[in-house]
Amino acid sequence: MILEAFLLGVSTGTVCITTCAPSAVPLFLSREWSPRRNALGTALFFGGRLAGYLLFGLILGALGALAAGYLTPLWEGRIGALAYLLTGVLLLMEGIFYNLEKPRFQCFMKKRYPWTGGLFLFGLLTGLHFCPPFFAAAVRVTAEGGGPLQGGLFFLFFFLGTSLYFLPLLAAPWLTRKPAVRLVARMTLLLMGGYFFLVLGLFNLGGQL
Amino acid sequence: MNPDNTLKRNRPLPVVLILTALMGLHVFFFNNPASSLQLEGIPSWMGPVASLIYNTAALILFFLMLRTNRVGFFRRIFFVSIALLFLPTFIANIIEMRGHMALTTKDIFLNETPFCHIVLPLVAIPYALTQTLAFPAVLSTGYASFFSMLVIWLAATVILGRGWCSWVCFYGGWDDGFSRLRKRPALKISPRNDRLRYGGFAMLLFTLLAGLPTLTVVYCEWFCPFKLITEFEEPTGFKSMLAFILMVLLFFALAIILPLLTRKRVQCGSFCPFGAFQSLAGRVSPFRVVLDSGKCVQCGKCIQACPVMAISPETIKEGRGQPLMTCTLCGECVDVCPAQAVDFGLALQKKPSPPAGSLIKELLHPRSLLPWAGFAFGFVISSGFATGTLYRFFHLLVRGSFVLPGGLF
Repeated sequence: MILEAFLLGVSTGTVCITTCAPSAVPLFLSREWSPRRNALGTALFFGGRLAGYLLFGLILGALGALAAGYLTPLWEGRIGALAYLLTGVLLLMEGIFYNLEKPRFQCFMKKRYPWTGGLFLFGLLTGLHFCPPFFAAAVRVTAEGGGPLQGGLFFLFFFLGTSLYFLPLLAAPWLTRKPAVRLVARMTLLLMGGYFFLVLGLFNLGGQL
Repeated sequence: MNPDNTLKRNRPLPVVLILTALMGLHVFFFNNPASSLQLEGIPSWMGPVASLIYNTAALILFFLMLRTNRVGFFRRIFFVSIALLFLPTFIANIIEMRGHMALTTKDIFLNETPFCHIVLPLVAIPYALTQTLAFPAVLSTGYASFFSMLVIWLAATVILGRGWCSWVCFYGGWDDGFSRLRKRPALKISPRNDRLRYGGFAMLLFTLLAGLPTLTVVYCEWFCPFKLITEFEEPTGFKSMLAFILMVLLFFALAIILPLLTRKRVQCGSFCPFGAFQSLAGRVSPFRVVLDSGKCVQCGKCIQACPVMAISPETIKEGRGQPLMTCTLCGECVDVCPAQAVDFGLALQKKPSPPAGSLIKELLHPRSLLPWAGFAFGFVISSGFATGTLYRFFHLLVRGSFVLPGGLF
């Protein structure tokens, strides 16, 4: 089962990237971090994703077949739209407030929106942007009905398999040395935040309700 | 000011005549009046006359461009003409094909939409993941197929680089033309040049990433202003109506109003993702604009003249020798420089070459080769629809209809 979960992650990781990269890439490219701090930030982002995956794994494992009724496009749409809405808000805040080179804004954000918690939250919300591999793992866990521990383990190794494709995030500091790259990434944060909030969040949620 | 006005004087007539003759061969090869389209029931003289008119006008423009050494000015006339001539034929052709401009779901599924070059970088990742083209275009046959556009783009990129945006693109003439209507900007944006210049790159990164979850071309769905003058999704619901309204607003704002007020090509210089992509892909081109800091009198005219904000004060002060990679080789800075410190050159040059001194060297100089190549590609792209517009205009005069029975393509 462990090998199956890991291989599912590895074989479908490219699809995972398509749902996670839109928020992760501009986020990491907009920051001027040292390799060490970037690695820590990446770990926090991964931690958020892992928390989301484990949470779902435990719940789905506990519910088993009872959860099957909720693995529908309607619920996927609702949860996904909500996740995009919240991610959009965070991206907009990130683009507008956090990266402004004014001490007043930085102090405000550091007090109320510590970068550590922010990245963890980004990772958690990104994990909720449901993708087909996630559903494949969910169906597997609910069909197995092996309890919360088995569900959690399955999603843990599924997460590890998909995480291989996120390792290039560690190379971000070498790109962000150029101010132009950070500026472009910051602009992209704003565009992406607006798109997530309105198009993938609000409009989709309106259509689902 | 450098008293040597060699570069500003009229180009030697033998050089101009030879280059124009070569362009004539090119023009009549690609748009031969003798083999013009003949449609049943339509007077046979219309096709050849339309081709002849366009060919002659193009050659006159090219001759004047080289003879007066005002590359930027005459290039702009040609470029704006391409944009204006593109519009009537494209819309008429779409109406002939399916009866309406708006794309219905059925039209999208038929995969017969003419392929647009702007989406070239945006379909690459969806294609790599799914082996399908995320744009409802014909692949290899018929009008404006994917492969024909790909071949033209490859050739133009290798030779012109981002010069595509000032010599070839049939949309760029809109903001290029409007950006030059006023003598002075009503809205000065110079202090923010730096940030606006990167808008296109942000739009490129955004549309590449935003298209990943759905594997669609987000730029076409929501942000392309030129859908208004080509084709757009039929507004049947809330989202499509919103996209329609956004399209109208973006077209008027980015292609007309802001260029008019700022004298900058806002759409092409600060928004278009294809332009940003060309800045990167086009580095393979051998041609550049080169600036001689030694001759420069720091008047700032080139900075003001550059429509895409590719020249900054730092470019001059730091003696970089070339504009930023966003330069579209339009020649506006070459035209305005009073000290002849700016000219066309090659990739590794840091200052313009001295006068060539011989006929062959002058013919092979970048200031001859680049305008020739740019004009040649622009003619290849435009000859079909430009002649088509003239053809339809004659048809309008003779038969009272711009739309042709049975279509032109």
